[in-house]
Amino acid sequence: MSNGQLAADYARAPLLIPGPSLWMRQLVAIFRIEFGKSFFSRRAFACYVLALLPILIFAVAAFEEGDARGGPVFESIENAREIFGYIYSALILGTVVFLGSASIFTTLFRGEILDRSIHYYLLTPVRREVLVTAKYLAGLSCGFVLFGLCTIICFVLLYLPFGMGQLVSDLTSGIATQQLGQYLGITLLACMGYGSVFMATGLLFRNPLIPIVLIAGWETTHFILPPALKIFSIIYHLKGLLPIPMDEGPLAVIVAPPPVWVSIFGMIGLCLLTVTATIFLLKHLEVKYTDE
Amino acid sequence: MNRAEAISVENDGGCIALHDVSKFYGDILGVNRISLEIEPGITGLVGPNGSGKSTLINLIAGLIPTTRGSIEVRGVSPSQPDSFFRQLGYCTQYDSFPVGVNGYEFIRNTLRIHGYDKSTTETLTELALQQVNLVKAAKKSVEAYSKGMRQRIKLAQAICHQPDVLILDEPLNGLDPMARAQVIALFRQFADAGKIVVISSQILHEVDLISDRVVLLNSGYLVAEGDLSHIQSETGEPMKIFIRSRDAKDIAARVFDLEHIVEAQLHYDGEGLFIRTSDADAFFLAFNRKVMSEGWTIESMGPADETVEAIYQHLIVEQQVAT
Amino acid sequence: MAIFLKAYQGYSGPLSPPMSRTLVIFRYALADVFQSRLFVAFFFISLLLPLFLMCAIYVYHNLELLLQFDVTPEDLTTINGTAFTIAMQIPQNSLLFLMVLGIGPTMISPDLRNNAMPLYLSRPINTASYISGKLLVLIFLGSLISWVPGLLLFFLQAYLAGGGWLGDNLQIPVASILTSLSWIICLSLVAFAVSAFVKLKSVARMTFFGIILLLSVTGAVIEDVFGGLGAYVVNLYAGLEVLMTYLYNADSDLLGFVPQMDVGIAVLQFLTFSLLALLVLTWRIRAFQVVA
Repeated sequence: MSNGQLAADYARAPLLIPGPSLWMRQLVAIFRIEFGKSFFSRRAFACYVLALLPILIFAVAAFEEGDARGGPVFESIENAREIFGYIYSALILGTVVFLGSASIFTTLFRGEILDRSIHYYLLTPVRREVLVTAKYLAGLSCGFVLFGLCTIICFVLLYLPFGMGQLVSDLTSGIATQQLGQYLGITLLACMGYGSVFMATGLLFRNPLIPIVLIAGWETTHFILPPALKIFSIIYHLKGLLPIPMDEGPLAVIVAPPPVWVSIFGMIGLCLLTVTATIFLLKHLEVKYTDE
Repeated sequence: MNRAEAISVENDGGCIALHDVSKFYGDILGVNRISLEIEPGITGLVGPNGSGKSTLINLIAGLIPTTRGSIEVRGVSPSQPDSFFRQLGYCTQYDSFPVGVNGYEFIRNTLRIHGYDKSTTETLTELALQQVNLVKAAKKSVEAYSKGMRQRIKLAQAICHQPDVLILDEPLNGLDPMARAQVIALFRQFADAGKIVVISSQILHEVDLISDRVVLLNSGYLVAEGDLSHIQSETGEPMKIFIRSRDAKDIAARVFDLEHIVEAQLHYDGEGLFIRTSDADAFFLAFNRKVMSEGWTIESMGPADETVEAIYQHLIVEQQVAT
Repeated sequence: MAIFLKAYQGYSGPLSPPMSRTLVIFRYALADVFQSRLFVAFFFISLLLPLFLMCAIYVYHNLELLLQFDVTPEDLTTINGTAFTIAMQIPQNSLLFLMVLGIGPTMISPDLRNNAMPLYLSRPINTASYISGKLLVLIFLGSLISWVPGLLLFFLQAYLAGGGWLGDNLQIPVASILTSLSWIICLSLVAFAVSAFVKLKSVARMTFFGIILLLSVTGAVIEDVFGGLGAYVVNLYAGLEVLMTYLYNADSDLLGFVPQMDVGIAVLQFLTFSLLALLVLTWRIRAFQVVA
């Protein structure tokens, strides 16, 4: 029997009938490939650097005797938690997760278009819904693992100057677990929300920098926006979930934070909407590689 | 009933059927009103640069949507990717690959996405690599492959799931003569198994060698399609016939007695003769009578221009010169 | 004798001076920049601000016109270094950042992506003249939208104000030129260094934007947590604010929060960033390519 006949027999051996079982196998296959790419490729280096930056700051804060003003960095555990809330809100959520999601999720499709390799996916017998979902889940997992780990490590480093006893006491009393859970939940929702938006803009815009700069501008200035516009800002919904409310400065338009369920379901709704839009865009994608 | 409708009626779902397909990139024409049926066997797609070959191939492979008209491959439309791409393999002209993979991973990943289980994936990957003779280099990064190796790994990726329809855009580019022979044999093997193989190429003599049929495109329009003798007879152009005979000089001197002779040219060795006739059938009939009456000895006789190159020369180059 | 030995004769005539070869790179890179309609639009929009300020200065000195609006000269603020900083230099700094963000990362990355470096550097062009040629484009365009209209405004104001205004405010033209050039050169070199690593234009732009955003936020966070000089060292914009306030002799209270950093340190910060970027560039721009 020739190689060709043998291969033909093998190819037909397991009857691949389209249906949930096949879709699940395809989803897992794409997820594994994309997760590997998002986590271990050269492009992932930027995300590692982003995730390490807050860890570095907390490590310095933990081992530093005092700050430049002469006093201790953390005056008390309450003050430390407030500082954590501030750093989490400004640096981890507003910058690290935002830029990290932009990098991971924009690359999912736009990266492959720029590498001229998207056609390999489009030439496989995969429903576009499966392809988009698998890629999105891979990006989400990568983002959450990296930035979730970053949040956990920073949170643990926060307790270092107060000793392990304080950490154990806070864990058992539930303060630490509740706060850490909330921060992790916000990180997950941020990855979901920003990720789905950046995945869609990655397909929609030839130059992905334009939406990133526009969204960054919108998110940075959300605090001065009127209430009717604030609701279109992801960070407004996420900041409403923070365990410690943040002061947004003298220029901020003060508005009561949205109810928790609105923030959570709003983010899930945004995610569903943008993933559906991505599927639509992918179905109408014309593979025509041009110079950047 | 127009031609497109006729094709639609005739189509039994076993071929590639294009119904009045047009593709425009804004104001620029890709291909215009193409109705075509590609049967099992090897079909060569020929045309000058910018004639719309790659556009047509990308349309058939579902990588770009049509502006007008519809395409079906064995009865399935590209809008149903889960069944469409199970039967189609496409070796593109794009010389690019996913970042950071080696040859083995490249094929294996494709098969995993198809939904094959682990052991079938591994077996099919190895078989595809064997078919393109790339087993030894399989674990090397694709980025480090030579042009020929990249071409072969793309081919392996196109055939790894044993598709019924194989579409190949310039598949012989960068291959050395031995690899070319192997790859051509592989195409023939596919065609002999009743599969459809469509090859786009600029190398006319190779298309001539491989193809059962040709499709000629020019400036986005379908110029001709079918087997070579059929196209040649439909062109209505003088046909070139080569006659090998020891009496070639005598024949050359007297052949103009016959009607329909346009040109006669003696071969350099004096034992052969090229004749151009405007009506091949009438010529053969009259020439037979003449041979009998003159007692000439004819060693062989046959058409000398049933080649893609000749048809290309006539239908495309001469038309371009004329316009 | 081989045929090429009979036919080939190397060029033995005089070579053009090295500077003119740098200008060849400059000329072609400049032409490339103007191929983008988006940039052309941006460039002309950038010139609207000086045009508006020119009109404002004219109105400022037109007593009849002012009286029609019931405004007396005493109601108006004095035009001095602070006014120039607020009305001209600060908006221009943002425009210059956007300009460098748009075209800086696109200068080198396409040459690296298309393996053009061996072609450039096999001519009598060295790394320095290549970088200078590209840098000149940004300096030229940046100057046209920053200190050149700044000088025009300055002389218009001096002409209309008369008296000793010119002598009293001679620091303004010097400040405009030095601040703009420092900002353009430093940002451009950082953008070049990024694009020398990232071969795709879009990714290079995103990376450059991410680095600048991250450095600013990190600087702000460090300032809030630890205080002291360390906060500003990573924040390029903080250095610019210090340099600008000093050179314009501007009132820091009116400018808002200006970091408490020595001018010398701000200059050192700019020099360090530029030198680091230059080091990266000389390392990455080579006359050979490395194949994986």
